Amino acid sequence: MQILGLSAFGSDASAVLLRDGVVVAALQEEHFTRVPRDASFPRRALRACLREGGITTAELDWVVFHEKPLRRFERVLASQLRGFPRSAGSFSRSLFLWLGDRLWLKNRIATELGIAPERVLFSAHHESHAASAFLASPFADAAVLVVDGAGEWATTSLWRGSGPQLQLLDEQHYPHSLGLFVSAMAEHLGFAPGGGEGRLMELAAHGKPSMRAEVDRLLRVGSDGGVTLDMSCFRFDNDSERLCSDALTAVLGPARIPGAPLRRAPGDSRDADLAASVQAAVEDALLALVAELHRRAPGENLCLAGDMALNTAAVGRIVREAPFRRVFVQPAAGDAGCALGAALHVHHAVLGAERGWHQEHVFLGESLLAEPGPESAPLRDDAAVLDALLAALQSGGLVGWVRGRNEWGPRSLGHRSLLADPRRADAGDLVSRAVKRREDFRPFSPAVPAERAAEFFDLTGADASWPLRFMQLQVPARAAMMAAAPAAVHADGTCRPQLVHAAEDPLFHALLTRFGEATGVPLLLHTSLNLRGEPPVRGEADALALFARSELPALVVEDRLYARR
Amino acid sequence: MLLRLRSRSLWHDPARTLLTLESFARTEEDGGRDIASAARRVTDRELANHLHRHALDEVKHAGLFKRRAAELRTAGESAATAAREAEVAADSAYDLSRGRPSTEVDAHGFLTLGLLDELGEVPYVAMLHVAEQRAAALFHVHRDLTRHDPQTCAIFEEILRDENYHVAWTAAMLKSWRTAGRDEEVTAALKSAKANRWLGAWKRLGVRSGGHFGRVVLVVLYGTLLAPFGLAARRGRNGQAGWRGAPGGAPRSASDAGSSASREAALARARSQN
Repeated sequence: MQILGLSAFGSDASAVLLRDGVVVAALQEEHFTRVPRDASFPRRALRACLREGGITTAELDWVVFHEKPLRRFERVLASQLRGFPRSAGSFSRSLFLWLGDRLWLKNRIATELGIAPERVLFSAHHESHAASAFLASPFADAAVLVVDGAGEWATTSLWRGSGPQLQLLDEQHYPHSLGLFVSAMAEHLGFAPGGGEGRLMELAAHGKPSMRAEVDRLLRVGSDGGVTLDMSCFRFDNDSERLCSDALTAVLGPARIPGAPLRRAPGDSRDADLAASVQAAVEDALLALVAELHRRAPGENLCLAGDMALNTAAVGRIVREAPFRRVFVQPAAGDAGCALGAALHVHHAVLGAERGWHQEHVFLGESLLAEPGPESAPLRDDAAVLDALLAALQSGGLVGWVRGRNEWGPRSLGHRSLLADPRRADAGDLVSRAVKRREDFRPFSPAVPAERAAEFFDLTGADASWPLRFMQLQVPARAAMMAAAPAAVHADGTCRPQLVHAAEDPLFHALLTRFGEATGVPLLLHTSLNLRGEPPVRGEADALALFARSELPALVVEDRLYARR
Repeated sequence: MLLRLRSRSLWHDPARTLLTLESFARTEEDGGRDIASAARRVTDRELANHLHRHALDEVKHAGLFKRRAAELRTAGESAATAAREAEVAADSAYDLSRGRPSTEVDAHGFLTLGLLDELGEVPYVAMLHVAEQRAAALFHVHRDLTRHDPQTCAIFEEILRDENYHVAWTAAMLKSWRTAGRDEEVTAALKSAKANRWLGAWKRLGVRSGGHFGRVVLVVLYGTLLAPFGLAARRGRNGQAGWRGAPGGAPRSASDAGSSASREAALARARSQN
C-alpha cells in the first residue's frame, strides 16, 4: 500500500510517501524552491518523494490532501460575508482564487499526477494534524491537542487516540484562534506573520510580562480552555493584508514599524515586555487547554501538533507542569506535518491498518545531492571526518556539516548543520557575523550527548521526553551550563537543547563526546546551515554556494572537507 | 514594447520585485537541470560540451537571482512586504505552483520545457534557440528598467552576456546541421518552437484578460447579490467562541477496523471534499 500525503496553500507545503505504514520520504517544497515556508503546490517535493521511493505515480494507491477544500471554502465565504462591506477587496481576490483553482482541487491533483480522480482523498486539517502527532508517536493511547491558526473551521481541537483510531472530543472555531492571535501580535511587533511568531517568543525572554492586563483584554481564556478574542481589535475576516485593526492601538499603543529598533533595553523595553506578556498569556492558555484535555481524556500520554506546538517555551511548561507524564510533539508540527498526518490517517483510520511504525528521527528528506567542488580534500573514514570537524571547531570556532538525507520539519538536527564552539562568549556573534546574520536577540541552541544532559540542564519532568531529541522544548539551564557555554543560554536562563543519543546518531554523538574530551565541555552550539532568509541548504552545490557567500571557515560534506585558505 | 510598459512598475514594487527574482531563479534552475540532463544524453561531443556550459550558466543565473532576492528580502523584510507578497501570489489565478501548472508556459515562453528524449536533438536545440532569443529580449528590457538599482541591473547585464552567447551557439549548431543536409528538419523544428511560443503567449493573454474580467464580475456580485447576505451575516459577526460540543459522540474516523462496510463508509467520507 503506497500513499502520498500532500499539504499546500497554507504554509510549509510538503509531500510524504508512506509505504505499508512506514514513511519512505518526507519533504518540504521550500527545500527545492528555496522560498522559506513555500506554500505552493509541492510538485517538486512529491516528485522527490517518488524518486526516493523508486516508484511512479501509477504505483500510488492513494493520494491524500490535508484539508477538505469545500469546508474551507465555506469558512472563507462566511467570514468574507461577515466582514461586509469592508471585505470587498479581499472577497474578489480570494473568490477569484477559489473559483479559479482551489474548488477543483481533486481534478487538479489528479491531472498533475496523471492518476484517476477517485484515488484522491481528503483528510480534515486538524484531523491531519492530530494524526501526524498521535499516529507517529510511540504511544498506543494518548490525548491529542491541536492548536494552530485555522483549519477549515477548527482553530483548536481535542482528540483521543487509541490504537489506529482518533476520536474528536471537541473543537473551537474560527475566528477565535490562539494561533491567529499570536500572528497578529507578531505583526503588531513588526515581525512578518508566518515566521515572526517564533521571534516574538524569542524576544519574550528579554522582557517582563508587565502588559499582561492589556493582553488579557484581547485574549480571554475560560477555565475550560475556551478562547475568546476581542474581535474589535482584529480583522482576520475582512482584510487579508492586516491581522490587527486600528482599535488595537488604543489597547497596546502604536505598532512597531518593521525595521525600527526593538525596544528591549532597561528603561525602554516596551517591545520585549509586550512579547513577554503575550508569551505568558499564550502559555497559560495552552496549559488551560491541556488541563481540559486531561479532564476529558485522562491518561499519561499527550501528543501535540499545530503551529503552537512549535512554541518551545510553552512546550517546556507543558512538560513540566501539565498532568501528563509523557509528551510527543510532531517534529514538523506546522502545516508540513499535515501531509504526514493525512497519509497516516488514511492508512490507519480509514483503511484500518494496524500501527507498526513510529517516528524515531527526522532524517526523512532527500538523499544528499553530491556534487564535489574542485577544492575538496577527501576524508577517508568517519574518524577522519571527526578529526576534521574537531580541528575546524578548535581553530576557527565554527564549521558547517552536511551529510545524508535532510531533516523533516523546521529544525536542523545534524544533517544540514552549523556547529560552533560554545565556550567562546562571542560564539553567537561569530555564527551570526559569519553566516546567519540574525537579529542579536535571537538565541542559539546547544547539542549535548543525552547521558550528559542532566549536568547542564534541569530536566525535571522532561525525563525521557521525545521533544528533547528534536530540540522542541526549553528547559532551565544549570549553573554548569551558564559557566561552560553562556552563548547558548537564553536571556531568561533557559536553553533549548538537543539531546543526541549514541544509538540514533553515533557520529554526532561521537563528535560531541570527543569535543568534550578535548575541551572539557561536551556541548556544541547547533543551528541550521543557511543564510538569513533562506531555508537550510539542499545539496553539496548549495552548501558550496553558502560557503562562497559567507565567512564560514570550514565545511564538511559527507567525506569531503572544504577549508578557507 | 508591451512587456516594457507592463514591467515598468514591477521594479518599483518590493514585493513584486522579490517574487519576480525568485521566479526567474526557479526558471533558470529548472532549465539548467533539464539542459544538464540533455548534455548527458546527446551523442555529439561538441553539442554535449555546449549544453554542459549552458547548464552551468543557468545554474549560475539562478544563484545570482536568488542571492539578490535574499539580499532584498533581508533589507526590506516587513509585514507589509509579506502581505503584499501574499497578495501578489494570490493574484495568480491558476495557482498550482504559483500560477505555473504543468500545462502553462514557463518564463521562456514554452508550454512545457520538453525533454531531449521527447523531442530529439534538432528540435531540442531549436527550442533552446528560440527560448534564448526570447530570454535575451526579456532580460534586455529588465536591464533597462532596473537602471535605478545598480546591483539588480548588473545581474541582468551579466546574464544578458551569457544569453547572447547561448543564442549564438545554438544558431551555429543549427547552421551546421543545415549545411549537413538537415535544412528541412531545422526549419520545421524552428517553426514548431516559435508556434509553441505564440500559443503560450495567446494562452497567457487569455488567462490574464479572463482574470481581470472575473475580478470585475466578482466585485459587482459582491455589491449586489451578496449585499443582503453580507448584512445578515454581520449580525453573527464575531462567531461563536468556546467549545462547540462533541460531534455526536461518535469517532469521526473509521474506527471499528476490519469491517468492510465501515471501511467503505470511511473511504466515502475521505473522498468527500466537505
